[in-house]
Amino acid sequence: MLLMSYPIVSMEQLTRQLWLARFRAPELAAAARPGQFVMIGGGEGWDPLLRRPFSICQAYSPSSNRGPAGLDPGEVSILFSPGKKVTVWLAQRKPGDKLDVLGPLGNGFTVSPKSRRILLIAGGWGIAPMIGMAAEAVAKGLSVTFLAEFADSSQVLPGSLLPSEARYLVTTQDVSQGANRSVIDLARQLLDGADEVFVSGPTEMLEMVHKLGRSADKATQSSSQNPEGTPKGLTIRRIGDPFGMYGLFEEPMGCGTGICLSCVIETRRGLLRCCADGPVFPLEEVFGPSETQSSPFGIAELR
Amino acid sequence: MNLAVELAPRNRRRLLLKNPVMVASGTFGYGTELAEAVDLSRLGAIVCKGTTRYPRTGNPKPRLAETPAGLLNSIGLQNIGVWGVIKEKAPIWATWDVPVIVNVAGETVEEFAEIAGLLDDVAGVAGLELNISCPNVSRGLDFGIDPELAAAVTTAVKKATSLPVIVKLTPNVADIAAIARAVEAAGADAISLINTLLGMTIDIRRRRPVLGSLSGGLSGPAVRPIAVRMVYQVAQAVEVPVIGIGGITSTEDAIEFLMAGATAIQVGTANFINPRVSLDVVEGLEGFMAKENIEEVQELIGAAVGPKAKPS
Repeated sequence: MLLMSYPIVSMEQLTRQLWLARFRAPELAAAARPGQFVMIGGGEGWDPLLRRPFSICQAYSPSSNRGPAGLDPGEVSILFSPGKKVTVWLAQRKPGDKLDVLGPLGNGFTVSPKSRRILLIAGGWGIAPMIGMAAEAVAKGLSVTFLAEFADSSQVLPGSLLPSEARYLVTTQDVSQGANRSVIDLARQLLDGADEVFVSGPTEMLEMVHKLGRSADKATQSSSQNPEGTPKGLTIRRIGDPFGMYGLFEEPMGCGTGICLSCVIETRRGLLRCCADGPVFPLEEVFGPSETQSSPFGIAELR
Repeated sequence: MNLAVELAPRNRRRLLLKNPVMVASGTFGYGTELAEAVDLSRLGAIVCKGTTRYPRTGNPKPRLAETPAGLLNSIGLQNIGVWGVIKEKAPIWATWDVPVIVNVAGETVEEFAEIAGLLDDVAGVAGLELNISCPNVSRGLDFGIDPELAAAVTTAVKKATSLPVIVKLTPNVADIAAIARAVEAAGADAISLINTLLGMTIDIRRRRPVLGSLSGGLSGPAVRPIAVRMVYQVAQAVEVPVIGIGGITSTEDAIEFLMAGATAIQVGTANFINPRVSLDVVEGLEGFMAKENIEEVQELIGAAVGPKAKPS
């Protein structure tokens, strides 16, 4: 857990709402994994008092042979939308300004060594960690499909941030009948071709993807007389968790280091901290039926 | 240069800290969470998360709201319970080079005593801090606002254990010195203050309080002047060591409390911003003493105030 000041290299507006900040942070870049986040101290003095969490978008470890698009070795990037105090302040930073950064924090994504093909699904703010995830997966030789949903076509992130080997599919909300209909429809079609699925975005989206996974599993169970053997694409997902689907959850945070207990999420293992036990959880763990009655003795131990 | 302070001079088990810098309950977990990131052996002491008889899930979210130079919390004492502490945490603490004090929160006087009794001879537990008034528990826990109730809890706990007992006072009272005198008379080895101040913030767009529990406890730099004033009042009123808590974010803040009469201090909310801030305070205190040619930290304690008023 590093606490350091890093100089900003560039501050770029990519779309109407999305900004990309690159900063030189070799220590952070060496330690960070996709799905992890940092806590940034913004504003002046005690205004605001607490740090804010930002998913790490891309990180180019100094020891890597190949880094993500648009980054130099030792650099880290974060993607954000100026909205409230700290993000507005952040968008006003200039190259050379220092960022006060605590991290990397959280558990990050883990891809099973047996996975060959992964599906990444991102919505809204959730797109940031998936960009770095795509780069790292491609560098490891995995086949990556990246499905991202944006509010409208003016907000679509350019594909230049992603490795060219990744298959990049985009949906926009203004095309569909209701929010998220089109990204879920597309996800349903792509599920079969993936060994593992990683989702990042609003909780409603995570829950919808989880439901997709469950219905896909039911379809497998009912077609178990298939003479071909186990249906393709679903074997790997049974390792550990029933569906091999993982979500990056977001909760308002206080400390980001697992101490204050503001960011807890109810899961099958009890109340877990989004910042320290997560932010990545198997979707089944959060949305699956709870095993225990609500009893004081069913609470997950705090580490 | 000597920074050591004794927190329980009246107790044969003693509670000697290598320096006056402690970390406050609820802001450092059980110490285990940050053991790799922070050199715990540099700290004077750790006070762990408030511990109840049975595990608690805590209050509905949102549990945290930022306020000017402060924060409101209504975590609601989510914790693993006293048996969780005994089985999982104390054995680890026993291997450390820093005393760990268990903060205890009971719903009745008997429960306080029961928890204290269970912790009495547990290796790794160096002392108890009694949370006699946590604003975030719905059944009140208002022992701290009444001198007799506060004394009753103290007496019961002192009967149940020989561990050093620190009583943590709430500032949500009209006369904190009266509470302090009552718990001292009941046998408290030391007194710590302040716990959080009751507060509320409202979301004007949603037209409702931000916190799931409506109100919560205010902490952070905003409360410091109240805390310093109360530490001064209590240190004037009692003989036992006083531990100052309230918005400490730097060495200078810590020294303010020492000079007001505190024997030791606790860093709390600041840990959320920088988990290593307490180490910075220790280092800063050493630097300050070196620069000012101060040999004993005792010279700083009460240095800004006159001799104590006679006890009434």
